[in-house]
Amino acid sequence: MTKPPGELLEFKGDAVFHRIGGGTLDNLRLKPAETHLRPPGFSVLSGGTPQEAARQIREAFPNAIKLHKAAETIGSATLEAIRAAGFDVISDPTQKFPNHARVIHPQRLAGFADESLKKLSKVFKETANASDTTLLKPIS
Amino acid sequence: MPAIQPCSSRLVDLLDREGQILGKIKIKEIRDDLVLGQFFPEPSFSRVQPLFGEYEDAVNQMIFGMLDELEEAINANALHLCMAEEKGRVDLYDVQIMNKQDISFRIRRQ
Repeated sequence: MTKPPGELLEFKGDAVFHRIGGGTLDNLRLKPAETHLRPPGFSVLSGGTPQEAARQIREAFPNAIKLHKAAETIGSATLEAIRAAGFDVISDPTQKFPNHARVIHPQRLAGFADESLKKLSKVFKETANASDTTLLKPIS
Repeated sequence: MPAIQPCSSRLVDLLDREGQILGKIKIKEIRDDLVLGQFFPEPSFSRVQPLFGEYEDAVNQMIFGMLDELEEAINANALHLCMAEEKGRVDLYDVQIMNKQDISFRIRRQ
């Protein structure tokens, strides 16, 4: 049974969210399937470092070569910054990612127009080489 | 439970809940409970292939919120390995098939 999103966690303003592939406009546009989500939005991972987000991806999908490549770049933003750009974040935990969340807009699908996404794109800070395992601390 | 070992020549059968052989797997690497290998589909795999394809698409498009439902649908097939030599069954979960031939799965502990 899939859990309804947005129920389990309240995020604080300084909570950090990571977007696999970075915060470019192209990477923030909704895919067709994401427009049918309720509410529409795109996936982010909350907490930790960009490198840890990249590691989560590699461990969850060991053969997803295309996604591994995308995870070399991670865009990170705080909830405060995302809200300042007019968007919001709801928790959407999954079996693989208890820290999975979704970036949404109060105007739902209409809020994901390019003009709005350009503002959102500016608040994401990019980390390159996020898949560099030498930057990782061992899990205790 | 039969032991799984990486082996360059040996193939193991992947079966569904009806005992149909969906394909054969060459085990390449084992990391704790995660097993990586190469998958060689049989014609009967076509029945479940769309599920794996949908899963791969969702992963590559980063639509992670859809994955739980797809994983449930894949798990409903009770995928398992049959180790002929050991006459044993190994139950699997988190079975992923990507790039047509790359398979990964985890061993369900009894």
